[in-house]
Amino acid sequence: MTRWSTRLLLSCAAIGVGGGLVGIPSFYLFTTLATAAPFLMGLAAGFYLLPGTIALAAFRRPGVGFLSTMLAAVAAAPFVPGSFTTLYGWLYVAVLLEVPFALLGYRWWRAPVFYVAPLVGTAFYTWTWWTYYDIGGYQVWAQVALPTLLLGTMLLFTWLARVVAARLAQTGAMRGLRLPEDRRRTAAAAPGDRAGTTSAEAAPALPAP
Amino acid sequence: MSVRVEDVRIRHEGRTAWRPDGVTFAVRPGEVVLLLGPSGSGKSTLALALDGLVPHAVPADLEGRVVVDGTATTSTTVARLSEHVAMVFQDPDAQVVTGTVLDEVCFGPENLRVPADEVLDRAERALRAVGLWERRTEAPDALSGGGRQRLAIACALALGSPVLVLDEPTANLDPVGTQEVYAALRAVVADGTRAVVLVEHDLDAAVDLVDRVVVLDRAGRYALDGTTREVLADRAEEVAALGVWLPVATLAALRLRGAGVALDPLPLTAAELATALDACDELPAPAAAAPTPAAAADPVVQVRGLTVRRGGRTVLDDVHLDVPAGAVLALVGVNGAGKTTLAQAVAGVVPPPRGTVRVAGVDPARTPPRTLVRHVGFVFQNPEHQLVRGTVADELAHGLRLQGADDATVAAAVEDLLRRLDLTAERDVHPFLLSGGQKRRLSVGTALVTGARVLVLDEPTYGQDRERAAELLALLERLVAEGTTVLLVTHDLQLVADHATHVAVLHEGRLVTTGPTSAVLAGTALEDAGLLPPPLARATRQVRRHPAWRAVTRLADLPHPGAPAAADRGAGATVGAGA
Amino acid sequence: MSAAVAVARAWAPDVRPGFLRRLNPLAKVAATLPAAVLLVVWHEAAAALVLGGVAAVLLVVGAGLRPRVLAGLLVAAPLAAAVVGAALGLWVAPGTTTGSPVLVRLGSWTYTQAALVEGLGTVARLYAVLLLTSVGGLTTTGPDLVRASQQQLRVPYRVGWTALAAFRFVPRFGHELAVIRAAHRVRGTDTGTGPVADLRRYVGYAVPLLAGALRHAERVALAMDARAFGAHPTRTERYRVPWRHRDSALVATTWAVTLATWLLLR
Ligand SMILES: Nc1ncnc2c1ncn2[C@@H]1O[C@H](COP(=O)(O)OP(=O)(O)OP(=O)(O)O)[C@@H](O)[C@H]1O
Ligand SMILES: Nc1ncnc2c1ncn2[C@@H]1O[C@H](COP(=O)(O)OP(=O)(O)OP(=O)(O)O)[C@@H](O)[C@H]1O
Ligand SMILES: [Mg+2]
Ligand SMILES: [Mg+2]
Repeated sequence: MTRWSTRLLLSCAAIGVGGGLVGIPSFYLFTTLATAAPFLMGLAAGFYLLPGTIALAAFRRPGVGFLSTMLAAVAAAPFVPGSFTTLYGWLYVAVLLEVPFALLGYRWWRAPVFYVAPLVGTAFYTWTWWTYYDIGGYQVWAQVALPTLLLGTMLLFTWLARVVAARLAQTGAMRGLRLPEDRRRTAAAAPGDRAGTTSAEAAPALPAP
Repeated sequence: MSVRVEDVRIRHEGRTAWRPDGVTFAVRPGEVVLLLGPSGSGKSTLALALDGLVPHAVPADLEGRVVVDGTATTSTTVARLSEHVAMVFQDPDAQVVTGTVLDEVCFGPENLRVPADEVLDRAERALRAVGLWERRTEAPDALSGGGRQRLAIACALALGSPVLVLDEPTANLDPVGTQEVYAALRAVVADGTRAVVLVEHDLDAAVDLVDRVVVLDRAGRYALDGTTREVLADRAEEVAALGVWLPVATLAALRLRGAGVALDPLPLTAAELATALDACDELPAPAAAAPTPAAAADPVVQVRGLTVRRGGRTVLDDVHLDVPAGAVLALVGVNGAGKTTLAQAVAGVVPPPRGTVRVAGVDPARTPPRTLVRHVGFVFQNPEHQLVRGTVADELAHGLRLQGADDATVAAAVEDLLRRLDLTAERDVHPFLLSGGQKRRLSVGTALVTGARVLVLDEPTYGQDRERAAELLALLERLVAEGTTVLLVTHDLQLVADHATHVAVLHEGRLVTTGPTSAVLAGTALEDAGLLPPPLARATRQVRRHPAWRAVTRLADLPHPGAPAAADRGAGATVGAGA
Repeated sequence: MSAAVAVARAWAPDVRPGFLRRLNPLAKVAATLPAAVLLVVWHEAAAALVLGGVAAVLLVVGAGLRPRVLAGLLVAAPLAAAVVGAALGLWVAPGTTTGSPVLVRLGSWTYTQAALVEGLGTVARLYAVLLLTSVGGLTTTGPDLVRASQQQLRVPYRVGWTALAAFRFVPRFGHELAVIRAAHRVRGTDTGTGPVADLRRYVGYAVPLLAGALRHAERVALAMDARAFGAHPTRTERYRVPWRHRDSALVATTWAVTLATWLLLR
């Protein structure tokens, strides 16, 4: 199998579409908050991380977070206010999710790396929305609510995505696609762990023979 | 042009067993080869190996060689091979990539960089061959299940491959859809230039098309190979003993042979069986028809004036239905007739309008789900949908825990069910990792565990081989003997004839007929609703010389020494051993 | 319109009226992007009115939208936006609006004219961005957008077709989700209220939904591979979504309008 087999591509599509559809109610909430109470937007922001983080945690391969996020955007677009224009919003998330792993050379996939994106994301969105909505002119509690809610929900959804990915692995649906968690000493093209078993999850990767 | 399989063994990544395990055969131009074997023997895996998907796209070890047109599949690419060997898969939904029928057929040739004009040319020829050219601008979703499988065949034709591999192409279809697919396939092989490899459980529809049969045994080893008649008729007992299913006509003849009626040669199709029976001067009287169960005083399921509208269409139209306690009622109808909708309304899965349904004494529309599960259990068509926990044992315990049962009760009930479902060894496995048949049994178990008196099953034999279907039917029969009432949706009319006490026929949302099985099968209700009679009835209705035989629809009605009248047709081994 | 008809229509070339539908999807994106970005960074209600107005005109004359959709977009939406804008004024800190005339007074709490103007200004910008993005969003089908990214942006066709396959997953998964919900209700897991129960429910839906989705993806991938998908670096594309002079003209005009707005109202 090449690194981007048709199966991997379509599996990203599956996670993207699944995540995109389950999140549709949240996107409506997001749009409502974005117009009526922007400092509460954080409440509905976490869903945007879901498909990409699930894909990264599930396959542990470069690019899957980006692709799944963008496919979630494409799939959900016809059903949300703003249609295909929502793609811009997702694009930031798609890049944001990949960066921490890219900086580590896509070799190390343990929990801490997953929590970098929510932290950076909180900082980034607090800054953008602050300037966009002039949150500085709002009451103090609203100013505090913006970053707090953002951070809270983003962390929550990152955690949730990892739980879902782990449970998915138990179902055996990712046989042959999931790579080991720690690949610092092995070649990037390590074989898929077998049937996504939990043992392979815990065991440190063996050096390539 | 030929395909040769040379001592092929395949092991999926993460598995220890080789399935198939050492198979050798060749497919010659113009030949239709049927690949048979029990579930899990590796037929699908072998089919995937024929065009290189194993090992190129599916992670698996392959030993031996598959040689296509002189080249080993391992030394070329799937794309190259697709010009020689084209595939049609079981699930029509999983093969559709584009949004219109025409685009779908063009997809393959476009990938091969065929110039646009020629792409359209090929598409037109392929669509005309399967009778879909007039519908080329529609979405594939608008086609019936049979239509979508014909589309898949057209897609394979458009690639221009001289070999066509079909893996259970009719498993999801109603009998008419199945016939459509085989009619299309017959037209495709008519000129003798294309070879076909077919994997199929439903032999009744396929057998007259097949030239050669290759049989695998349970361990995936190569068991038999020969012309259709050599394998299915001359060695019928051996095939049956392998647990592989036979055409109903052949089974009937084997049963008759046991009763001293030797039909020679053994018939393979309904028409042949009728001819063979007529050739006998004398036939023993068929066993008395199954005693009609006395209608219980108060029906356990009552449907009154149920109308359901979905998406602006009337899906169910003023349905009235009574199911007596202890009955096995089969709900039949073509694809889209409203069977699932009715079954789900009865079980309260989609709550019906208030006052239209009473089941086991409650109205599903007014009963909270947690209470309802104590009265009626529902088994979804796809068992994976209703499995919600991480291990088999937890799955069974789930319903009881929600009812507030204490741990000791739960543990005892779970142990008991695990044993009855034959899942004790799998108690700690994730439910999704079970085989198809095991998943189905588990989903039935989850519906039973809360002690429901009524069990509703949506196509319980869908995607199962005959052996698994028989296992499940045996389980249901035990439950019915213990007083459970069963409502099942199915497309398998021989199953209906053999196992159901009552039949309800749905057509375009209306309940056209309901009554005891023998009465419904004797009439023309099935044909009127666009269905076909069960295969055995199709044969016996053509019998001229023995009028008493024309009413025979059940295998159990055939005279058979020693076998109890209730012996079910699922007992493939019994047939083999008894003969 | 049934799902099947919608699928076929989205797939085939768009023949509904409206010249915007005949333009390259990327041209529509490129044309409106600078204006939308400008309104995000530049807090000027007048510019929002001008640029939003241009977008509205384009939508009326060129999108071939049904009257009901147009009414929703150009009448109902701005009315709702005005209400929301008034609400936005509620959050504005009192310190920033001292001295402005008081509109409502409840005890010590006041709602000032400045707060109202501030809220309406923000909403005007949001609404203008919505109109601008609708120019492309409401006149482009998903498959066309994918084809254009493939043909003009050189997105690899395997990725483009993955997106096309994703469109086809949507109706199926919508249905699967409904079935899984029903099944969970039948199994009695669908009980309990409150955020924790909701979260549990979501995970409970997500795992079977995604596991089923992954299995489906695996089968579709096999079917595509079996039909020579990815055989060559390129493939025959029968639908062209060309970039024509009129696309360049649209982009040039709208960029000029955006620039002029900025220069004049700065
Ligand atoms: N992708 C896979 N990964 C791992 N094991 C697999 C995979 N597909 C099939 N198997 C296993 O390989 C064996 C053969 O499976 P296969 O699907 O070829 O059987 P089959 O003869 O087609 O059965 P059926 O009649 O039920 O379709 C089975 O034990 C099955 O569990
Ligand atoms: N939610 C829905 N929205 C619109 N139409 C629906 C919906 N659910 C079912 N239908 C339509 O109602 C009809 C009956 O559907 P149902 O699933 O009950 O048929 P069925 O007899 O079970 O068919 P099959 O044999 O294919 O399973 C079909 O034509 C289907 O398209
Ligand atoms: Mg199979
Ligand atoms: Mg159904």
